[in-house]
Amino acid sequence: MKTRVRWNRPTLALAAIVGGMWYAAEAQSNGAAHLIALLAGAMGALSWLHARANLRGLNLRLAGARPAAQDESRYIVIELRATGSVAPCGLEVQAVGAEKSVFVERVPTDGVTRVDLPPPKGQTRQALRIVVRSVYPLGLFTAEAVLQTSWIRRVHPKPAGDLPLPPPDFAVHGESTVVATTTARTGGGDDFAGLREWRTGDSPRHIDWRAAARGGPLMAKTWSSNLKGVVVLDWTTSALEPEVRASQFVRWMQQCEGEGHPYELRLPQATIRAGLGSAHMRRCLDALAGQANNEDGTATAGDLRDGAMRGETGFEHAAHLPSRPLLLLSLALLLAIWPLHGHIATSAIVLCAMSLVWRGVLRMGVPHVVARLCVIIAGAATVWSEYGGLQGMEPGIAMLLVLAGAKMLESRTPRDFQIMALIGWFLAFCLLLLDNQLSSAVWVTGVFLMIAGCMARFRRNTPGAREPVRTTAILFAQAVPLALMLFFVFPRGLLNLGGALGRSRFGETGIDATLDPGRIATLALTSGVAFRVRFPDAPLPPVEQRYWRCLTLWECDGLRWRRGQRLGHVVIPQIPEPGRDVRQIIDLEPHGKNWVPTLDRPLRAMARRILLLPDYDGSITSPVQVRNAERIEVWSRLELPPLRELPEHHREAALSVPDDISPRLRQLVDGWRTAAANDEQIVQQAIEYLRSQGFTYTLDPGEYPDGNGLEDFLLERRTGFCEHFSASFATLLRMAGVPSRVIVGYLGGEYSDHNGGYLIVKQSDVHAWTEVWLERYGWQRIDPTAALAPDRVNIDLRAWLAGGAEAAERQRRSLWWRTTQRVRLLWDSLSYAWQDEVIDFDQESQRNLLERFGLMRSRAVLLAASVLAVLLFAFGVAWWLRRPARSSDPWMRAWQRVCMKLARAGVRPRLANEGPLAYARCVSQSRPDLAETTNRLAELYAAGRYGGEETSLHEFKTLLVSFNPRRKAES
Amino acid sequence: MLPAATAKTAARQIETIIRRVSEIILGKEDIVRLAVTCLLARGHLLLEDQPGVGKTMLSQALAQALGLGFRRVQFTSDLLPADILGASVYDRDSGAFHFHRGPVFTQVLLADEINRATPKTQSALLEAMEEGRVTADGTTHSLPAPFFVIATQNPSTQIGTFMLPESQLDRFLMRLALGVPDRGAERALLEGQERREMLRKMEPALSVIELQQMQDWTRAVHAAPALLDYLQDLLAASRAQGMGLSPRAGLAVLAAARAWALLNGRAMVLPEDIQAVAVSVMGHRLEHALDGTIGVDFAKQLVAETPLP
Repeated sequence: MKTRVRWNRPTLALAAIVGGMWYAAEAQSNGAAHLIALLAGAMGALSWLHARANLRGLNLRLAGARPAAQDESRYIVIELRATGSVAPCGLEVQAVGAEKSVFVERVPTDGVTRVDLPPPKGQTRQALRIVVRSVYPLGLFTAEAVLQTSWIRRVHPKPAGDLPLPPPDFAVHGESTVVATTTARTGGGDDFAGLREWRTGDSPRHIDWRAAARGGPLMAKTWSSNLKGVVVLDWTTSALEPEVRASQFVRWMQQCEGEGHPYELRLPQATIRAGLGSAHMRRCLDALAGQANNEDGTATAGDLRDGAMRGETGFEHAAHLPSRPLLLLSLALLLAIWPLHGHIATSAIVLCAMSLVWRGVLRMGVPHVVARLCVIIAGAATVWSEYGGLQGMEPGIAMLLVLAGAKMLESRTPRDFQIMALIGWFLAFCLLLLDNQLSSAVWVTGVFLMIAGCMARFRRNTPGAREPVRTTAILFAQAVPLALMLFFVFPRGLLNLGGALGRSRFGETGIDATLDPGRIATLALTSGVAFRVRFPDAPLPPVEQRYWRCLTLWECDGLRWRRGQRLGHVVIPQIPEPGRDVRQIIDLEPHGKNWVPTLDRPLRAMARRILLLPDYDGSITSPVQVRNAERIEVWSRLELPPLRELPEHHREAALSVPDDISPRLRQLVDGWRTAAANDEQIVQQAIEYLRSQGFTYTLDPGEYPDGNGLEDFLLERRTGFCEHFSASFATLLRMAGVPSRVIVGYLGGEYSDHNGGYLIVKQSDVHAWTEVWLERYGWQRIDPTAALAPDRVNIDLRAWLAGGAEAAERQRRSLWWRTTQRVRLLWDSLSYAWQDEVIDFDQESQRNLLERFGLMRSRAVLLAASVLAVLLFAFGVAWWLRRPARSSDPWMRAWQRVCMKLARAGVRPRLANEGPLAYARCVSQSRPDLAETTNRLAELYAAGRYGGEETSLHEFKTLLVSFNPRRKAES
Repeated sequence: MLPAATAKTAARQIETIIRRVSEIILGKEDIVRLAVTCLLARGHLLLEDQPGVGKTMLSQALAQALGLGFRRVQFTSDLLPADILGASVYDRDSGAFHFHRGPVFTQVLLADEINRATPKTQSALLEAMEEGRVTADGTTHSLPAPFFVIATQNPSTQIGTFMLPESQLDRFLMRLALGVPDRGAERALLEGQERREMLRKMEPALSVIELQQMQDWTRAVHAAPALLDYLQDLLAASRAQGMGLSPRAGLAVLAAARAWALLNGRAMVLPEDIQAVAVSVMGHRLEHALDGTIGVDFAKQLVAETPLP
């Protein structure tokens, strides 16, 4: 029995979906998306092998006797047997030409499953063929095995026709009939023999008038003696069409049986002598079946086999969709779309989720077509109103959600199930386009596998999760190495899209170009990672030096600060000195703005091989918005730069204050100016003011009004976060005539010793401080927060909020904290590696990697090579699968190897029903040189497998290893 | 469990029996082997063939070679049960009824043309075959051991016969057809001595005790689980359509296969043994399994198509 695996419609759908994923991944230059696309492709490709392996070792044969002819409705009994160690699942068995098929959930290994197959319709002229199809495990490929039997099944013709029965012939002799010779030629005896339907020509004297008078039909009385004529049914004298003739004959035979007439059948090849009774009837029917078949020239079911075999399996077309798999798939899809919340318009997600719940969870019926159209139109309208068009990635995904919901609403057949599952794969994939975190990649993979499990579970059509989970796990474990290999080798950038779609969807998170009161406190409550830093040359800078400068704000508006106008300046590049300056490698998460974090104060930075120098304000900015994760190399000097003259227009900008400063504040500042001799003392007084006037440092300072927020904060409420302190401090100093500016950035960072040690700086480490121009030092960093809450500089915000340094220290020693900390850092290092190795693995990284191994060739060569590798791999496995399936019995396995070796050496292969000694005898006859070893092996096997005593396999195996019939044949 | 050496010894002894019988029945060694197998398995034998092919000669030769008593009953349509089993006759001298033993009280009984007798008579014999004893007038009389019936039957198509019903066919372990000998064997037969003369001269190869010992050994031949799997597959395959082999038929196949294995000097049953006896054991039991098939063909098909597990 030969197994073939062919593609079907879901295969095309899979190809389209993998293609779509690859396109999106290329467009976004997103390594994780590439990986998932490859994983989907690899799982699809491997399901081909599994579909093949599923039928491997399946043995199919006709069971029981095969009469030459039988009733048309009689079922065909076949036997399915799994000879290998794999139990074939989800089989659909069908006789070619039959309308119905039988679904076999599973054929246990070493067991026999018997199936009653509905027979093919009508006559078959060719030998019966039986097809076994299976779309297990994922429904993406159809494996098919055809059993060609030698049995020509003929069916008895059906009775039909209304011609009158030929008159009995009294000269004919039958086998068990005594035939009249002298009397009763007239067709009747003296004994009443019942009634029969009246026919023209019957004597009116024989009509049962009494019965007719009661309203019955005209019936004629019949008389009989023991002497009867024989009805002769002659094939050659009838002028009817062969098929019609056969049916008419059967009708006549039935009439003869009913009336007790013996009948004789004369066919061109054979004559069946006159007789009566069921056995005789059967003989005649068998003969007629053969005859009708010989002459029947019309197309029959057997000729249509190709048409019958083309289509998809009937199970796929089943009229209903089992509710439990549907529920499971709906849950998987809900999990797939759940994390899209926050990235995609909520209305689309809700619409999709409602459809899923409607069909899958609540199991409501399919709504009317108008209702479904309304859903699509309403969905499209909301997407349109939300995004102002359908172009772009987010509207596209939103529209996909709407369409997926509509598709779910109309799902009613297993094929729809398959489509929904594939759509589910794509929906899960969409999350990766929107969110690059490792956690979302894990989530996507989980949902992905869950949907694959749904597909496998569905094909088995039986409750129980263990087997589908096992199948999916095996598929996944096999797909991962293949996907990884292709990930590194399969050429990128073939589509030449070059990251046309941005990867960042943050938009509003991260540090902004303005400092509004309350803004930073909000940001400090978020948990995302801002960037990660490695110090390749030097040890970590001390904690109090970890000020990460991002933005410098010049324009003052009380409590609110902005970047302001760009000021001209003269660039004096400074050459970093190794040993004195600190080199950092910063992996920046995308934030959609231009700022670049640097350890205060930066000297220079390299991003994408472009040299960036500090701007007029001492910060480094990127020329383009940071929409993808970037790696930046920065040199910073921790000590103060050499003193330079403050240009006049800089001083002017650094002293400007809004006009609407209240008189009370002016009074306060005036007091300081008169008391102080120089700028340092003014600064000192300002710090002293903050420290002495009962200010509180809190994350939740409440709202400050736009107009007099500064006065409200400084004189009334006196509660604020670092932004309030920095902003008000800088404003006060400006009023006092000291040039000052506000710096926004991050403070601190958490050290992780994974991946060679690095600092994790989170959004919650966000901070604002001030810089003050002092004649003797230049721009000097003053952190008013440090004056107010000195511990805040040394510990992170959360620890500080938990109760300061001592509490933090106490907490740090607890087991719980240490454990969670370790897990958190491990996870972060994984995310970091993920970001580094997978997400950012693009065309360039690929080239670098391949160059390192000396493998870099042109893209076409690479493409051809990877395609070739996959094909070779597939061919190898397919060839391997052609071997006979492994038996579960060790002795049998060893014996099979003997037989295989012999078959390879050109000896007749062992028949399925051939015992060991019989085969050994046959081998000895054809190859006397092998006789001795073969006989010994056969005896050992017989003793081991069928003998009563425990026999060790060892001797057999030693003999087997040295047994090499092929080499013997050559020598 | 039977030691392998014992099996070898037994096989040698059985071989002498076969050789001696084959000297008389020429060119039919395979049939003789099967007949001996049947005897070893404590089964009864049904021979179905046309007259004159040596059915009687085979039975006599077997009895002679084993040193067993032999009797023959020719069945006719007017034969009564008492004619076989025996009857109680009034003895005027003692004034009591005495049971006169019929021809069934022997070790090898040839029931010739069993299908000519009426069902009543047939069943009387079959009961004796199954039970190994005869009950007449409330008294039970044991039959001698070993008790081996060889029945012959005319082909069913002949007129005036009462076919054995299925349930009674089942009592026979094997059904064999002798068939005419091939040309060489027939020539040897024509040239050779008078067969009856040879029969008279034949020495028994085995004593009754030895024969019973060997029948006990037959039961001890090992049947491994893998073999029973195969046997069950065969049985199941026969039952796939309609009525197939009964569990009793399964036991019969196994018993015959054990005897065949012993005959070949093996202490374990191999699938080959089952295949060797399958057609003879299963053929007549499958005759009515399915209309339109011939039992022997069906049995052959089963053997050919059931793979070894």
